[in-house]
Amino acid sequence: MVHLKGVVKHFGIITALRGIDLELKRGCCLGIFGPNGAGKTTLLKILATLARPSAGTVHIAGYDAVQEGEKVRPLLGVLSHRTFLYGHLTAYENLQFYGRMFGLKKLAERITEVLQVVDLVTYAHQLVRTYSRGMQQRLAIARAILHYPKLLLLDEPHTGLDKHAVNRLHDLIAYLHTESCTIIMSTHDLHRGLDICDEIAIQCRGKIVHRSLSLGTDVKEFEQIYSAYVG
Amino acid sequence: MSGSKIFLQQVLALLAKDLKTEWRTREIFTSMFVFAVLVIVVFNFAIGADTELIRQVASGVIWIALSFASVLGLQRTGQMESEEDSLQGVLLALHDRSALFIAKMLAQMVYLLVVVLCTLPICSIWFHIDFIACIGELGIVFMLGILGLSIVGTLFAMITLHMRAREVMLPMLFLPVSVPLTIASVYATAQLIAGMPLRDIADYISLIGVFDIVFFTLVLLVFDHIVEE
Repeated sequence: MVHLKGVVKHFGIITALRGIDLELKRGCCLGIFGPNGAGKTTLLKILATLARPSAGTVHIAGYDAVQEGEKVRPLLGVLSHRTFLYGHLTAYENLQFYGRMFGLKKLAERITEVLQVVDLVTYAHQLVRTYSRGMQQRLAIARAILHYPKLLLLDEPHTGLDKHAVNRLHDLIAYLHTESCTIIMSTHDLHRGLDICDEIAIQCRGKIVHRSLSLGTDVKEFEQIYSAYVG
Repeated sequence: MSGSKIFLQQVLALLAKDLKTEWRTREIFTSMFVFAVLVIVVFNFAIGADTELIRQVASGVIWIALSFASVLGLQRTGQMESEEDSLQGVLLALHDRSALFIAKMLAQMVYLLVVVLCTLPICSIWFHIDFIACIGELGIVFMLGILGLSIVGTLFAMITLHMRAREVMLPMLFLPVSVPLTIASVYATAQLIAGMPLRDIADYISLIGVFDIVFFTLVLLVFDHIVEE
């Protein structure tokens, strides 16, 4: 599903990614852990076609993400700590806008469906700027899954979420996982990441320095591995 | 769905979203209109009671008001897209990223046209100019001039979107580049107000048209790179 080879990204004199190689099968859930400045967000932005790699190749579902961005984008769902929502539109209007952008059929039904998933049907016609942070983030989840993405990119998705919303997010990730959706999640929260991912990787100073299966990995053991790389 | 149909659908969705938001908040129109009226009022007092002089400078005042009002509108549009990083959400949904440029440009044109429609009657009263006599010809000049301002303005609004000193950089880039367009529009409008027929200002209209075509083509070629990090 995802194939990265030698991906490098420079921002002027700063090198954010130093040759990332990554392969991920369909239906996998990969958690990328790392400290601030490790290049996690840059990596996800390149996967999301929002940034162009300085060197290397990125293939998603067989398409070159740099050359065939228009074919890759409909396959992606992105959830970051920013919601990508418009405060002066209602939740329904926000989803309607994104649904139209993706050219979704039976949009009204789909909007109701995703609003039910995030438990916001009651507030559907309320302006988003009146929502609490947690509600906005839940709506952002609805936005990210609205168009049935095949690859979900989660960039620090727990930021600003209350416990209830975190549980919902985890339920959703588990559900999407069973639907063969591939998930890549960046976080620095080892506990939450280990809970939901079936593969884990550590990114440090622009490189993936460790990768393993999460099954059977104990949090304490992983903390030691993490500390050994990150310090 | 064919590429052109998706493109059109996305342009319409983006335009509808912008206009709906503006209809609710009226933030962009209010700031642009108030600024334009203030410019007209201040110039009217500065020039005094010399009716002939007022007629001569009226076109310049109108286009200065429009150019600077554009900056206000563009800054607010940029802010709207950077709050909650909504622009990234839009970029993720776009088939062809030029759709974003076209939609933003059209929205800016709508705002400017509404400002013109609201300020011309005020100008007519304060400057004692009968715009009705040449309204058709003026319509052509304003449409082409506003199109040019919207093309260049949208281009620089997108370029400066992620800049730290966005509020400073946008007018510094936009106003100098739009000078040829503004000068041609001022001359064309002045000649029409003076009662010249359209064929006598064909050179100015051609200049505005060429400016629009050159910048429109240029923006379409580079827009993908502008919005990418």
